[in-house]
Amino acid sequence: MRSPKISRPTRALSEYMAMALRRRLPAPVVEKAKHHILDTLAAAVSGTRLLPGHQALRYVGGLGGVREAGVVGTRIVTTAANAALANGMAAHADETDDSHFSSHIHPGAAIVPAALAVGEKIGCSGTAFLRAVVLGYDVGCRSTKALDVHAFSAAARSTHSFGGTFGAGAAAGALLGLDAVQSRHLLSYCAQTASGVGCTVRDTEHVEKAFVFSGRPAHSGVLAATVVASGFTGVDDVFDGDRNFLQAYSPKQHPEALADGLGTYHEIMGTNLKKWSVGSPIQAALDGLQAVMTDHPIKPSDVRSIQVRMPPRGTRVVDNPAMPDINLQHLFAVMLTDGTLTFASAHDASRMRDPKLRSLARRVGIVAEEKLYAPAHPRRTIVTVTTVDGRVLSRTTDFVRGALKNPMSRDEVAAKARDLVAGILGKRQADRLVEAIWTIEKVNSVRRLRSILAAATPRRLS
Amino acid sequence: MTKGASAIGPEMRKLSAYMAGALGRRLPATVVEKAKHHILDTLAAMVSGSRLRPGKGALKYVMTLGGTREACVVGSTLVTNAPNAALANGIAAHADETDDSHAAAFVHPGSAIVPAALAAAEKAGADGQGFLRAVVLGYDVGCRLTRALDVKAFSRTSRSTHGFGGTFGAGAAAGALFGLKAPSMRHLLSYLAQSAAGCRAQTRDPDHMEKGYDFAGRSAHLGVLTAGMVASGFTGVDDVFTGRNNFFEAYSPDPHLDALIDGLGRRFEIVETAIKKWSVGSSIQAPLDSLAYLLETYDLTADDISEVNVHITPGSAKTVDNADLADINVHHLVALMIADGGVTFASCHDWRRVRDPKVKAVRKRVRLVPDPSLPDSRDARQAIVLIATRDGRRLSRRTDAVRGTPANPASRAEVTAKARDLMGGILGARRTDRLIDTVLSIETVGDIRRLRPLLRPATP
Repeated sequence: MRSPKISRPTRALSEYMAMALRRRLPAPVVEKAKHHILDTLAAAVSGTRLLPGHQALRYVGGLGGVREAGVVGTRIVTTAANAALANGMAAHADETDDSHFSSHIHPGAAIVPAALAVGEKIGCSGTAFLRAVVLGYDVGCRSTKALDVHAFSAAARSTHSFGGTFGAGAAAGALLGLDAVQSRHLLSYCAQTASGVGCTVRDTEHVEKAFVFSGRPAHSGVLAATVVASGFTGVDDVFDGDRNFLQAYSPKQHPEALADGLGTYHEIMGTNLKKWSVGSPIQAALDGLQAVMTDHPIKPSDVRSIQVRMPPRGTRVVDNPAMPDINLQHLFAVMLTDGTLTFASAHDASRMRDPKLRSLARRVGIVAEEKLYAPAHPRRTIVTVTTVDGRVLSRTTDFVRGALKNPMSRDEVAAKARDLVAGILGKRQADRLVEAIWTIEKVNSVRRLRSILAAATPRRLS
Repeated sequence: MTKGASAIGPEMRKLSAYMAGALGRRLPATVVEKAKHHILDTLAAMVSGSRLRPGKGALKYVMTLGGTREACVVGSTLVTNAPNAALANGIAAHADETDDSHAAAFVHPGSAIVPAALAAAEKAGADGQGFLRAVVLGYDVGCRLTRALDVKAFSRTSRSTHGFGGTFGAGAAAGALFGLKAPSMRHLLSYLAQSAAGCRAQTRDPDHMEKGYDFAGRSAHLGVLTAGMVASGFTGVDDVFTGRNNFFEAYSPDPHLDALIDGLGRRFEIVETAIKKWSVGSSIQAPLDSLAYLLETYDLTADDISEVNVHITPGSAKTVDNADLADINVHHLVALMIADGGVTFASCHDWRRVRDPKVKAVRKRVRLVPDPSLPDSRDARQAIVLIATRDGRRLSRRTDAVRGTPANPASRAEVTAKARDLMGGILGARRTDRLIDTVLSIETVGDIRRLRPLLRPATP
């Protein structure tokens, strides 16, 4: 009959999962979680107007299903798994969503949609929703650490997809009230469905990437959790014993990492937000340009040339590609011209044909410098503006705004969210959304969020 | 466009073109006949599985989800969206071990592919011929995929060939039925690569539920889901099999890309797939073949027998030695066949018979002998059964090629007899006969949805 032998990390993890909704969290964790929930919901809403999110909502709209959870930015209400799929794809429709460096996953995009969908399905409280999200980060990030992030990525497998599945499944399972035994079965179902390879770096339209990073993981997590909640049983310890999951997928395994620091260290505290809704390597450069522009009011006509010196990792991706939101030169031209950068202006492909912007973009050069990289400041970037009247204005950014050593304030998080959603939900609803998340403890049912996040379903991309 | 985005290797080019042309391509008559056997055998597995715990659980689960009425859940009156129907029917098809299996590819192809093809065909309103060709394609793609991964090396890593092969096979069948052209087929293969999963820890699943989920349910579900996504316009990587961070780099220490297209259009994997004569675990097929032969040839009953020795390989013995589940417990099944003079689907799955004094009395005389002299190969799970009779005779029978395997294929009559045994009690005799006739003349079916009323239970 059932083997009673459960390894220590699996036992600790499953017992932690089963109790997560009843456990009080420290105030800083609650505050940080609110930032990530708001930021991810904003990413999902804005993502519904980008190609991956739009494709997903169209597809899910055709599947029908019991009205359990809303697809944000639309009036579609469908099953929790379908909603998680659509909202997950929308949340990583571009690169505005959060990311966790040491586990190499984008936790919010997979976990928040899964938690929201199941939260709506069962009508859970705001506190339960928040605790489930925090648990999702804790399980998802630990799962890829247990697989050894470097060895796993080097093997061309996608940490994002694997970690997202466990995180989404954990959050969904907690909301469905799974006990420790069921949580162990859930982990096994997540293991049976965790998948994904790194070829997404070659995806030019970001659609497959959205599926792999967050759409599929959110969907699989909800599927696994609801299947187990409805009575499916499975293997008691998929992380240990004969033919276990860690052996199956990673050349190096750290099972102890599954439960390391549970309850004392919360992975959400180690997750980065993005101030700018653009590709990662451009964040520090925009921080630098903004700082120069704040100290020295300059107009586009003042600029003779701009040099951006940055570590080599990622420079190739942002050096004048076709997509506006990952094109450094174009984004610099937009910020210089508009005085700031918004989600809309960063994603407006039509402006790439603007001759004035193009002329300005041609004056921006990227220099990849290996010596700027150090483990303590992996993205140190130096922006140097040379003006037509001969001034040389330079700014070094060591820590990207939104990253752990330079966190965004609550106001900045709210301002970013408003920028991302106001055009779709309207200003009033945007304010209501921010307010609802800041006071999420007072929300009796997260179904209340549904109407706030809804908008007329878009027929085509704007 | 980043450089190299549209670089497509020769294997991908050929495979995707073949997939896109599959529904328009005539198949040899022997392949059509063999495909009918596997379709019928898998439908029967779904029907019988709908009454086992995994199948019942799957129906109960998808019933709560609702969805656009696109495809039926076998053994019920539920019609739901195609991915959910594929999920439930897949779990039912591998609710136990009665479904077909491909030894060289180490995949249970039917249980993932037939449910996916049925759901996609119902959604698309395909005809019987399109459905059959899509199923054949599914076997061809799913089984070649695990061969390309290198079955042995891949299994050694504890990853599940079943989950991986099943996902690709299910997706290929669904994609063909959704009318994908070659460029979309390439994107679909990338989505399937992103969805293929499974870990062999499922061999430790005592209830066969996670196994049904991994082998078949999840695979069929994601195959239909991703094929539907690509059909609705989702785009992806053009060649997931070569180039940076490709699928084989991720999963295979020793890939054989040429195996993806080896013999495409000439060698059909469905022909190399085994149908089980007995609705029990693979390792118990040969013992039951041998035992049935001895009982019949020498006209033996329980009272005649003083001892039974069952020789199988040590590896097989580990799986079936007094196993938890009745249908993979060799001691019990041998005793059951002797006690009843034969076995049926119902008797093999009736766990109460494990405590039946009549069966228990025989079971005391059954001994399992792990025999290292038998070849340790999945292609030929051999067995020797030795019977000592009370009147002093020593009778033995060795089974080299199990009935139903490619080396000793089952006849049409045997396949239909098994299907009747599995389905009759649930669909009723008349509906069962009509279903069998319909599958055996599937080319004449104009709309596959005609199968729907035949797959409903006699009494809901």
